[in-house]
Amino acid sequence: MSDHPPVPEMVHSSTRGRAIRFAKVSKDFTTGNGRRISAVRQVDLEIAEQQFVALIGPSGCGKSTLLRLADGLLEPDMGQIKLGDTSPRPGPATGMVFQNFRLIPWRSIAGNVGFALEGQGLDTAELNQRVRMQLEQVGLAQWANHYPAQLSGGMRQRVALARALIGRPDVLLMDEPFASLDAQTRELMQDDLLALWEHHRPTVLFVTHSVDEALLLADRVIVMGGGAVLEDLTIDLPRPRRSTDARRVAEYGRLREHLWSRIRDLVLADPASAFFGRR
Amino acid sequence: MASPWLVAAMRLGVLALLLLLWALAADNVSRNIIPSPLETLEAAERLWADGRLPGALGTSLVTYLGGFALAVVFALPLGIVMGAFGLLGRTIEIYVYALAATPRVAFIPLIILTLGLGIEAKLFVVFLGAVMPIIINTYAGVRQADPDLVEMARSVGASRGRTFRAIVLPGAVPYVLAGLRIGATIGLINTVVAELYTAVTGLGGLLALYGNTFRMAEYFVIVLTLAAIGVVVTELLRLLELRLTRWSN
Repeated sequence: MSDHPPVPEMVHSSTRGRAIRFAKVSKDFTTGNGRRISAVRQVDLEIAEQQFVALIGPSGCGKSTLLRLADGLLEPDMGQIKLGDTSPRPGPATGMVFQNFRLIPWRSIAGNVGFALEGQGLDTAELNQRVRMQLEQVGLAQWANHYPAQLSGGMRQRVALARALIGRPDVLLMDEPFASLDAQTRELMQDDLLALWEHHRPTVLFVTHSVDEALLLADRVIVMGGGAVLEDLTIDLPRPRRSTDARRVAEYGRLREHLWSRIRDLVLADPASAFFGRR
Repeated sequence: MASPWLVAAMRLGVLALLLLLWALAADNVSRNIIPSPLETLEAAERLWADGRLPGALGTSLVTYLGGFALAVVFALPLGIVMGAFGLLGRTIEIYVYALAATPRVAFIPLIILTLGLGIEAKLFVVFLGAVMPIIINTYAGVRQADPDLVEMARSVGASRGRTFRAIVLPGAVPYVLAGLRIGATIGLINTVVAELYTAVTGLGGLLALYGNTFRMAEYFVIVLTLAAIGVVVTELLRLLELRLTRWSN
C-alpha cells in the first residue's frame, strides 16, 4: 500500500471514530477441566474516539478477551461496555482483524472482502463497486479473482484488513494482526496501517506482543497482566510516524526500556507462562 | 510434482507389466484355471456380441446407480441435520455407527423376507451399503467446521443461517466427497452381493454362472467389467472433487 496512489476520498468519507468505554468489566471462562479462570477482571478503560490504543502483555493476560468483548463476540459477566452510546454488536461497523487472517479458502479475494457486507441489503452492483474500491485502497485490485492460497501472508492480511474496512468501521479491533508475518512484511504493513489510520481515523484497539510495534503505532499503550490493566502509558512521539524513524528518537528508547522491563517482570513472575515451557 | 504425462506413462507401463504377468501366469498355471489375455478378449467379444454382457451390465448399473442415488438423497440431508443440531447428532450417531459396523450381509434374509427377491431388495442392499459412510462423513464434515472462520463470520454480523450456508456447508465438501467415494465402492460390492443372494441377475449372476461352470475366460471378463465400473465411478468422483476444490491450488 505504501507505494499506491492516494486513497480515493469517497471510500471512507463518513468515518469517524467512536469512543470505547469499559466500566468494571469482568469475564470468566471455564476451562476444559472445569477450572474457572477470570480472563478479564474489573477493567475500567476509557478510549477516546479516533485514538490508537495498543494492548500489550504476556499470553493469557486478557488482551484478546477484551477485544472480543468490544466487538460483541463475547458478553461481559459483569460491568458494561459502550461504543459511543450503544452496546457492542458484531457487524461491519466494528472491523475485526485476526492474527491468522481467517480468509474463506474457497472464496475469491473479492468474495472474501464482500463477505462482510453481504446481508446488509446492498444490491449486487453496489456491493461489487464497494469491494472494488476497497481492494484498490489496499492495492490488491488485480488479485480480485484469485484465491487466498495463491497469495503471500502479507497479501492475505491485507485482504483481511480490506474485509474489516469495507464496512466503514468507526472502531477497528486488531488481534495481533502482524504476528505471523515475516519481519519486513510486518514493517511494511505497519506503515500501511498508519497511513490508513491517519487518513480515516477510526478508533483502534490493537493487541500485540511486540513493544516496538506498540510504540510505533499507538497514542497510548496499555499493559495488561492477569486480566487487569496494570499500566496506562501515553505515547507522545510525533506523528506521522514510520517504522524507520521511530528508532532514532531518544524518547522512544526510554519508553521501550520501561515497557520491556515491565513485561519481562510479568512473564518471569508467572510460573504458568509460555516462557517456562507450558502450553 | 511429477508431470501428469509422466504419471500417465508410468501407469501404462505398470498396465503392460500386469498384462505380461497375467500372460506368464496363464502359460505356467494349468490352462483351465487362468485364461490368457487373448482368450479373455475373445470371450469378451463373444459376450458382447450375443448381448449377454450389455444386458447384465445394464441390469447391474440400474441396481448400483439407483441404490447409490437413494443413499445420497437420504444420507446428505441426514448428515447435515445431524451436524447442524448437535444434540440430535450426538443422540443418533451411536446407532449409525452400530449399523455401520454390522456386516450388511447379515440383513439379507430379513430383506428378502420383507422386500422379496426383485429390484426393491437389490436397491435396498446397495442403499444399505452406501448410506453409512456418506452419513458419517457428512456429519463429521459439518461438525469439523473451522471455529476460526465461524467466529470471523459472527464478527461481521452474519446470521447463523448465513454462517451455515457460507462457512459450514462448503467446508464440509471434502468430507462429503470422501464419503461418496467410500459409499460408491461399498455400493458396488453390495450390488454383486445382492445379485448373488437375491434373484440371480446382472454381472453378479454371470459371475456365479461362469465361476461355477469353470468358464474362466468369461468369468475373467465379468471380473474386469466390475473393476472397470469401480474405476470409472471413483474417477468421476475424483474429477468432481478436483473441480469443487480448485481453490486449494
